[in-house]
Amino acid sequence: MTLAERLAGLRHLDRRWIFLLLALTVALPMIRPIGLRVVPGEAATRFYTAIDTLPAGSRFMISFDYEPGSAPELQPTGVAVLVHGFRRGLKPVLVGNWALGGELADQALRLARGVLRRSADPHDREIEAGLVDGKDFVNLGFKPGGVIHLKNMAKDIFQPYPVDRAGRRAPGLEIFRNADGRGFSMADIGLIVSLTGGNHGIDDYVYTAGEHHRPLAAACTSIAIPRLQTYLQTGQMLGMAGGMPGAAEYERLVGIRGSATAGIDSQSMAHLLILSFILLGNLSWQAGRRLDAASSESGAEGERA
Amino acid sequence: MTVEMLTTWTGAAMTLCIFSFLWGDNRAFRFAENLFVGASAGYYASTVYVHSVLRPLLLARLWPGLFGAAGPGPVPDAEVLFLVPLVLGGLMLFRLSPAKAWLSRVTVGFYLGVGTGLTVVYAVQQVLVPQIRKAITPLWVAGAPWTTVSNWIMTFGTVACLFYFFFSAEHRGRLRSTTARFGITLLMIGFGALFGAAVMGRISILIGRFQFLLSDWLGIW
Repeated sequence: MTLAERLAGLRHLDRRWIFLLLALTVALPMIRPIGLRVVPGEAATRFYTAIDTLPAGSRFMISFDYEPGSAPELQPTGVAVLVHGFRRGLKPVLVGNWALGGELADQALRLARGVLRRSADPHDREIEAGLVDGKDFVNLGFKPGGVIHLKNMAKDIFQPYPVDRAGRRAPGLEIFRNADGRGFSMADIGLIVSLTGGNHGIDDYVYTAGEHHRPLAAACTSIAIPRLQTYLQTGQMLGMAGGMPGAAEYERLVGIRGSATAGIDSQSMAHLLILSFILLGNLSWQAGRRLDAASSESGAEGERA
Repeated sequence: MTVEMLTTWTGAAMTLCIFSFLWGDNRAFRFAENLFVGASAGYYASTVYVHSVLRPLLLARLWPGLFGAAGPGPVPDAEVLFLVPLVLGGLMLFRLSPAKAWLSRVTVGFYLGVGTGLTVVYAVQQVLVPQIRKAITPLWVAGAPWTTVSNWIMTFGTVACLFYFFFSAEHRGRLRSTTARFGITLLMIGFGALFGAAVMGRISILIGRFQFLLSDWLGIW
């Protein structure tokens, strides 16, 4: 059998072989890591700097705008941002524009506290031991409505969030107390970070930027990177962590080895495999076309003879 | 067996049931699919909407003494204006009756009107205008040749892509056809980037599931 015939034969390959190869390519680097380097890009570094330059004690908002399907890409950034914030002495206010945002925010909090608790640095463990719900962080949970909800929140944050996720009256929580006695408003939020899994994420915060007037940063799913890149170019967003690679870059900047860093080997190997599939697929198609043309020509000659 | 173990084993079993579809359609896959739809609907309706939305944002506003949050301080006054969303929400239930389903259109119309109106204004103010402003760049930047090249690509790329979708004049003649071809080339590059990003996203989801199976469930990683 010639090489062309072998290549053409790939057109009839059972697709389950492809699934098996992909599964092995993803699983093997997890069992035996390759240790590919993660180099933080400009967008992730700007995102990190936006949080790093907030004055200690600042309140900043993290909006969990996704559901479990996008968690592998966004949850690691949420955890890394929380760890970064706690280390810097910032106070995260967690919200969710997606129905399961409140649950995912709780899970991210648990994971971030776990990272600090297991850290080799005693200062991290000290920070974790001192964290108080309602004083150092708060989870306000999910609220629907998209831009209408955010418009409402820009006017008065306690209008859509009269209580936190635990059912406590939000205005009475210590995290919302200002030293000068002023009532808490969106102006007291140093930065809004949206972990965007689709609609009702960073787009809605950009849309209502003229009302809340807060600086923005985002983490997004891979598919949204090309679209959200435009907000970086216009300066409407300070920084961005795109997909699992962006999350790994943020983890590297914070100095933790989370699930995104652990998944980068698998991601890179899977990309190489898909590249080879595309190449082989095209070669197979070309070879098949030539063989089909050759056989139809010889068939026509046979008929003439 | 602890609750956490039970949750992990159930999650692993459901993941494997869904993965079994790769071999072919089967009962295990359909069972997991139906269970997911049912459990999600129940969870959204009760825990998420009643607990996070209906109670704190509507019922507690109308009947603060009955549904309001417990805690120090006086019970706030009832906000009668919230009867409007209560009525509008109630009208949606008429969708269950084919004869009276038209009543729900009042709510849908209200929501669509407000939502569309706001989105159009915001899209123009916060997306279209900043993008146009960003597209106006100097075509000659002294001492920065790459910035100059980048600005040329962006400016003429924007024009070419828009021209490709200009159907009032045929793309004939050297100038028009070259511009349209340049536009479609850039669009194809954009679609390629989108496809690559989509592949990356799907692989990330697969990695997430494998991390769960290998780490949380089997504990071998």
